[in-house]
Amino acid sequence: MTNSIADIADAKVILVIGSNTTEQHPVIGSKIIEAVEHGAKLIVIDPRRIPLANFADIYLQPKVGTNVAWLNGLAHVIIEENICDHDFIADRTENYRELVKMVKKYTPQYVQDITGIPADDLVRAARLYANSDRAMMFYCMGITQFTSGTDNVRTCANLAMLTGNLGKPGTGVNPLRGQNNVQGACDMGALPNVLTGYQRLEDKEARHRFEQVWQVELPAKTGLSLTEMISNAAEGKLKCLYIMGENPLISDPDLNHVREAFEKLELLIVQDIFLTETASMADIVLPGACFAEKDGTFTNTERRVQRVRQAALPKGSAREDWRIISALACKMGYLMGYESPEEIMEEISVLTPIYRGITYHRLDKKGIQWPCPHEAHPGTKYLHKNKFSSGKGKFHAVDYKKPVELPDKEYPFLLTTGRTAYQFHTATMTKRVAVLLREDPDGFIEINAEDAKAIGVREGWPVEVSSSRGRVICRVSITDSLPQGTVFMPFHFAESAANLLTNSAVDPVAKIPEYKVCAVRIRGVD
Amino acid sequence: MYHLITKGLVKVWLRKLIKQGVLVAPTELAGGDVVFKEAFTPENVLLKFKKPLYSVKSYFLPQEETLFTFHDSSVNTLEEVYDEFPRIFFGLRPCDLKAITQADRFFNEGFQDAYYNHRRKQTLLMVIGCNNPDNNCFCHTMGIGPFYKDGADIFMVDLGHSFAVTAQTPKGTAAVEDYSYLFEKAAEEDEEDIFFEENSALSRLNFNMPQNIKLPDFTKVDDGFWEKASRRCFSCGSCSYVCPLCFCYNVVDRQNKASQGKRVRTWDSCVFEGFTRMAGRHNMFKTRQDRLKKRFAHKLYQYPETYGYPGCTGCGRCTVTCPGNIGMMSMIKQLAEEVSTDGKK
Repeated sequence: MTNSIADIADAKVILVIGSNTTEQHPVIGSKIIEAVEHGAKLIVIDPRRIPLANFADIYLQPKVGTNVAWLNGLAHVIIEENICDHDFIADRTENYRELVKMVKKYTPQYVQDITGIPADDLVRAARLYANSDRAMMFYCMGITQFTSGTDNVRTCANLAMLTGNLGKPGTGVNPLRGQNNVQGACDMGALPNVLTGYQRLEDKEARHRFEQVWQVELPAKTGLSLTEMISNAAEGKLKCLYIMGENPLISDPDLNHVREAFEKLELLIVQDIFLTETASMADIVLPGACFAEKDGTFTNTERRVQRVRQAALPKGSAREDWRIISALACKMGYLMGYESPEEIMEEISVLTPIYRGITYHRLDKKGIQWPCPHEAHPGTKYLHKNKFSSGKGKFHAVDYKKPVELPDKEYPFLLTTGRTAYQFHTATMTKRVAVLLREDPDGFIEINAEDAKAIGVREGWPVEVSSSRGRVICRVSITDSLPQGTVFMPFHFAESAANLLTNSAVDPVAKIPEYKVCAVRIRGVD
Repeated sequence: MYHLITKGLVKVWLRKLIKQGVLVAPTELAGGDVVFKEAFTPENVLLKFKKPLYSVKSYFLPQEETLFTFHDSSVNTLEEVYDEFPRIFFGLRPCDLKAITQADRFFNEGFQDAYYNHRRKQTLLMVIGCNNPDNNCFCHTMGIGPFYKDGADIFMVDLGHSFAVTAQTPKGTAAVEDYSYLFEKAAEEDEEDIFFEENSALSRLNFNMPQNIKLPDFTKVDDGFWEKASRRCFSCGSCSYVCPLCFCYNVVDRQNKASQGKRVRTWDSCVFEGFTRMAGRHNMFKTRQDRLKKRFAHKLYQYPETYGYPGCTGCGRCTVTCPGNIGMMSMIKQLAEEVSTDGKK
C-alpha cells in the first residue's frame, strides 16, 4: 500500500477493485464500512457481486478480464470532462500525451461493448473518483492474477496520477497483501531479481555491499520466477527444488502439469509445518516452526514491520526456518553463524536503506512503516509525498488485451477462481480446525440460477467441471452474485482442486499466472 | 456489613488465599491488553484495571475440553476427565458474576453437567464493584448494575485508599474471617462512600443508554431490519466467543493417540452456518440474516421468557470485538427505535 490503513477514515471516496475485502481482509473491510457510515462514498468494481457491493454508492460488474478496458474508460471520461488534476500531471508526471492518445478510443460506449458496464455508470464512477481530492484506491488479486496483470496495475496507477490522488493522506494506490508476511518476504528479496529492499540485482554497488558482508561472490543474473521453475523442471533443466512454506500442488495453475514437473526433479525438499500435498511428494521433509514458535518480524500490507514473539517452543524435531537454513549452509561449507533473529535484523538494517532505522529496540511496542532511513525517523505513513522514488511518475499507455483462454463451443463457461472466508490458501492450516472445516467442508462451484437450469442441476448436486487441462467433481452452489456464463470456484480444496483446471499462461513481466480466467465445461453427474 | 482492607494489604491477603487454589486475576500483557489470567504470585495482579478483554467463561466452559477418553473401540475403556483445580477468581465485575450464576442454571436445570459442576464447586468468586464503566457498558439495563452482587462469595468496593469487603457465603466468610487481622470495621461514612460510588457509576451508565429502554417486541421488527443489519455480519463468531453468556458447544470425537480416542467439547456459535446445518445440507437458518435474527431473538426475547432476564449482561465485549460494528448496545438502541416507530421511518 502506498498509504496506511488508518487513512481509510480520512478518505472521501473509496474505490475497491477486484477484492472481496470483507471476506479476505476483514479488518480493512470493516474500516471501509465504518468510513462509508461516516459519509465516505464507495465505488466497488468486481465481476462478482461481493458483500461489500451492498454498501456501494456505485457498483459496476465488468466481465472478468476486461480491467484495462474499463480503467482506460475511466481515464477517458476524466480527461474528456477535464476533471483531472492538471497541476499534479504537470509537476509530477510524464508521458501524459501518450496516455491521452491511447484512451481516446475508450469511450463509455466502446467500454460498454467490451466490459458490459453501462456507459452511464462508468461516467458516474469516473466523476465521483476524479472530483474528490481524497480518493483511496484498493485492489487485490482481481487486478493482478491475469496475463494482463502488470497492465492492470499500471492503468490503476494512471488513474491515481491523473486525479492527483497520490502522495497525501486518504489517497493512494493500495494493493492488499494476501498473507501476514508476503510484504516482508518481498522486502527481503525473496524475488528472482532483487536483493533486500528492492535493490536491483544488476546494481553493482548494492551487490558489492552484500558480498562484503557475506564474503561470497553473488551471481548478477536474474533467477527464475516460480512459474518458470515449474516449466524448467518439466523440461528437465531444473534438477532440485527447495520449497519453504508453500504448497504448489494445490496453489499453482494446471496442477497435472506441476505434478509431472515435480516427478522429473532429482531432489525435492519441502520445509513446512504440516505434511502438505507437496511435502508428501518430497524426498526430504524439513519440519518448520509455526508463527507462535518463533521470534522475528512480520511486515504487513501497510509496510509496517512488527515483532512476533515466541510463545511456545517448536514441537518435536521442528526448528525455526532461520535455524534450518543456517544449519544447512554450515553443512554445505558456509559458516552461517547467526545467533538470534535480532542479529539477522541488524544485518538487514545495515544492508537495506528502507529498513536502516528499524531495530528490535524500536519495534518493542509498536511497528514501524518503511521506508525508515535512520534511527530517529518515525517511519513513513504514505509514499511518494513530494516526488516518486524514480523521479517523475510515468503514465503507461496500455491497450486492452483479451485473456488467453476464453469460452468457446466446447468449453462454454468462463471460470474465475478465488477464496472463501473460512479457509486460508491451500487449507494446510485451516482444514485442521474443526469449526472452519465445518463452515467450508468441500469444494463447490458457484453458478447463476439460469445456467444451473440449463445444465439441469440444482443446489448441492454434484457436477463435473472440466477444462482442456483437467477435470474435478464438486457440488453446485447457486448464486445471484454472478452473471450468466461466468462461474466461480475456490481453490482451497485438494479433493476438488480448482487449479487442475486453471491456465498456466503468465503475465510477460510479473510472470503471474492467469488464475482468474479459463474456459470450462460443466455437466451433471450421478 | 462491610469490612475494610487497605490496598497495601490486599496482596498479603491474596498470598494467603493462593495456597487454597489457583488465583485467576486481571493481569496486563506485554502489549497493554488486560485479561483474566492465572497468577502464581499476587505481584502482577491489577487492583485498578480496565475491563478485561474476555470474561472468565473459559475457566468454566473451556474453549476445548476433553470429556473422556477411550481406546480399542470399547465402551468399557471410558475414562472421564475432570478438571480438579480449585480456583480463586479475583476482580470479577458484576457482569462476569451474573454470567456465572446464569451458567449455574444453564448447566443444571433439566440436565446436570458434571464437568461444569466439578469446576464450579471449587471456585471462590471475589467480585469488585464497577466504579468506572466504560463507553460500551450497559449492565444497568440488563437487570443488574455496577454493584450487583448476588451469588458472589465476596463482594468488594474500591474506595480509593482501601477496599470495602463483604462476605456473602460460608466460603467467602471463611476467606475473610481466617485473616481477620488484615481487616478493620467499616465506618458509617464508608457506607456513604459506597453509596456515592454506585450512584456515580450509574449516572455514567445512563449516559451510555437510558435505564428504562424497552427491549424490543420481535413480532414488530420486520425482515428489512435484519437484512440491513446482517450485511455487516461477517459470520466470524467472535461475538459468541467473547460473550460471557454464550454457552453453546459442539461435541466431537477425535483421535488422541494410536488406537485411543477422545470425546471433545468445543465452543460453538449460532452465527456459523454449520451450527444449524442438518443432513442433506438442509438449514432452517441458512442466511446470515436468519442467523442474526435468531441470535438477537434468543438473547432478548427467548431468554427473558425462559429465565426471567435477558441473555446479555451488558458487558459490551461484543461491541469491541465485532469487525462489522454490530454491538449489542447499538442493536438494542436500533431495535427500540425500530419498534417505537413501528418499523416505519
